[in-house]
Amino acid sequence: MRTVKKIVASQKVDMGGIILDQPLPQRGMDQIDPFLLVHHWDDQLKGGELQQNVGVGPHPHRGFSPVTLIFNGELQHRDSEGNNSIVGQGGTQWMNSGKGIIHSERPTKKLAEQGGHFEIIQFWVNAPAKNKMDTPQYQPLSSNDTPKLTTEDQLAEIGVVAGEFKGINAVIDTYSPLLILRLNLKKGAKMDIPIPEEYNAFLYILDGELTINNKSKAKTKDLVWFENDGTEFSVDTKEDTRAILLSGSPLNENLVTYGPFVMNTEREIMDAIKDYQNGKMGILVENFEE
Amino acid sequence: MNRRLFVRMGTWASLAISFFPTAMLPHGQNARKQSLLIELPKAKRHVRHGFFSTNQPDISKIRVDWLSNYQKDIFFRDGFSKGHDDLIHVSLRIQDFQLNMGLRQYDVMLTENSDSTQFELTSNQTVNIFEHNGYSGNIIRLNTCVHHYSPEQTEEALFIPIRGSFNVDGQSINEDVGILSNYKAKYQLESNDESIVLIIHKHQ
Repeated sequence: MRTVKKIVASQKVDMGGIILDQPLPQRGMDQIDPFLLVHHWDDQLKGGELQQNVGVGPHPHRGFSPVTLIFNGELQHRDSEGNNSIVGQGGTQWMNSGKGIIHSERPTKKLAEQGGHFEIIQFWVNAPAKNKMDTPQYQPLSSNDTPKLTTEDQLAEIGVVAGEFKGINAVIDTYSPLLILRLNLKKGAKMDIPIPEEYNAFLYILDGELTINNKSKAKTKDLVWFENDGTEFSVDTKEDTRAILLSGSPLNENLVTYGPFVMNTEREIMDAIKDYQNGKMGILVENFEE
Repeated sequence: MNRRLFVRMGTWASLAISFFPTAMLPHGQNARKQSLLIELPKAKRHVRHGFFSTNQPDISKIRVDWLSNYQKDIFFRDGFSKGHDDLIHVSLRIQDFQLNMGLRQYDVMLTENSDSTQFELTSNQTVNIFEHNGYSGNIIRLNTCVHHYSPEQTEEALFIPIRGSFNVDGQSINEDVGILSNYKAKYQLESNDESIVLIIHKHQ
């Protein structure tokens, strides 16, 4: 049984006016290889806004995969490769930024104008050095297209975003071995979750409370970091709980990260900045509907 | 471009101000007439998800006719707030020469094509970072001592604070405002704190 290494509460961060919960990174926890960042944006949009004034406008990335799970509302992704897609509740936007891409991520026009609940989690998965300069790739995945497993007692529904879980295979292509799950647990749910022993793994609780291995308790916006000392852990809950499991084979590579770029050396960061300024990551002109 | 990287030892800092007769120090109204304050484009601050502010600064407007495309970017090390380990990136163009310089604390990295040079700045040390077709660039780390800067004869000198603020012959400049000066034999640079200054010379 994988034991719990640490349970930490998220911290609030101000990302240019957008207040987010950030369970990773934190002091003393720069990354959980290969995961670099988890941001939870949960907001009630008031409406009456133009889409171009909400969300995050065009910005670059290189060297890793920013992945967004949509829990409430709809998110519109546009990028310099020409992708323009809306993904709604239960869906995923998986982007491999590769050698560089410019993208924007905004609540839809309807949500901006009418208001409503908007909730996403974005996490960053580091790319192996050999893939950091690959051609960028965008993979949208709706809720309907996400493979799911429901327990016999109907108390748990598990969405398989990446990897393989109890015979269910995800459809997303990843650079490195990962197991990423959405956990929707009703009150009274109990289950064991197997993970390869070499995977680094952690849970993030969106809301509710989990008891792990009949011992440790984690609550809303906690991150539960596991030791690499077993091949499964158990969860049970006395209230409805939503959580995500992020686990993957560590890359064990040098990490240099500044702003929106994640590379292996400072020289590569400088090259990323120069390439971005010289337009080598493309151009994104957002066309907002009338 | 012929890049030579050499170090002029920071002997100026070891000389007490009393060694220089006060009358020789350029200061006061006459000195200021030879100088022009230059507004510098504001630095873009980069967080994890792009830019800290949606107001993008004008990257090219700098009122020096021989300098174009001056841009300064600050990449937050922790991804969302200012810290001592942030990466400051400065790029500028003079004719067909492009300078790309990264500064993290006192470590400087210069890149050009596939070449890169990296070094650490020490206090009051003047480092030449480029020479190109009648233009040259020096970088100095200033501490709280007065630094006497004596360049070779040039037509103009542009002082660009990369980090911090300081006085050039009594004129305050900071990261938003530089100074373009006609040639003088000596400049007195005075900083209240540790600062980094980029000085670009236009030779005759």
